[in-house]
Amino acid sequence: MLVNIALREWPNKWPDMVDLLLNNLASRGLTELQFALNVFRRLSEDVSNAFENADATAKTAQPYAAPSAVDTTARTLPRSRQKAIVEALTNLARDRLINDLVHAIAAHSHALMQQGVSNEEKAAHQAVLLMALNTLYAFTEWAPLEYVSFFLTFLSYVR
Amino acid sequence: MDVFVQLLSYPDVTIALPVSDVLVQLLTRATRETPCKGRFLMLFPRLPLVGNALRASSQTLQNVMNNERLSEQNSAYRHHRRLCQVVVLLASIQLDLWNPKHLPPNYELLLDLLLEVTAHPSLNVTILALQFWKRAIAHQTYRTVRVPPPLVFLCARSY
Repeated sequence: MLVNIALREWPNKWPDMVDLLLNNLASRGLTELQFALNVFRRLSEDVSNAFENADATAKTAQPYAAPSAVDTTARTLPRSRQKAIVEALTNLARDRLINDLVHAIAAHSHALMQQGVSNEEKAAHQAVLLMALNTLYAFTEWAPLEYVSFFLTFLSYVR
Repeated sequence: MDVFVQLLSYPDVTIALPVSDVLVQLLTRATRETPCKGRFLMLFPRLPLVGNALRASSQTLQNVMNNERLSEQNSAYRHHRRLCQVVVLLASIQLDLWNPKHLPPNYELLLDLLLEVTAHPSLNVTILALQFWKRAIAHQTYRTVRVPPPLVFLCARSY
């Protein structure tokens, strides 16, 4: 539902969504962090699907899909909304998200590899790590390579 | 980076697979997009970790092969194939940026891994390496040299 709202409102009418998810919500616990990352993963996947669909439509001249009242996807949004979301996600990737993901990957993989971690804790860290990796993957599909590969230059300093 | 590349060898393939997916995605894009290509040479110092992951996944695959037929549905096989792709894509990027005076660290290891991929029992894997060798032989930089440098390097080493 949050993704549907974001697709309609963010960033123009909901400018503090990133702060709400990545600062307020994500700091509350591992489940909340996982939830916050999932929102950005879904948004990114939606954008990527919209790109693929635009390519396919251009090639096969398929009819325009009418937007559903219940389920919004980037594909069914007007072009100006698609553009605004892509721009906002690109800026987010450049400004902080890739950095946050890299730190999450480093922190939770360290936590996983430590001795004496209970199975419950291990499962929680593993779930966040998996979500961070899947979110990173979702962005590597379409976001400018310059931003998404930036982590390669500084990951060696993350311990 | 070490943390990220170490995850390639993580015993649970549900974690290791998205890491290899991210790397393959980034490297594939880097082979097409020139500006960030050099950034990926930073992976060369970590090549031993990639090699270890490749050999470990090969071992896992041997165990899996005894019980089931390999296909893209099998996560262990998919991860192994991605690791082979990482080796081939790194070699391709290095080929594009070829400078005989400044060979990257672990260049010999890269050639060893390439040979392992070339001699792989699965044709789906071998073809990845063959595509690289085809590119290497046809590379315009080597028209004056007649024999592509990676092959020269291999031949020189065998004496």
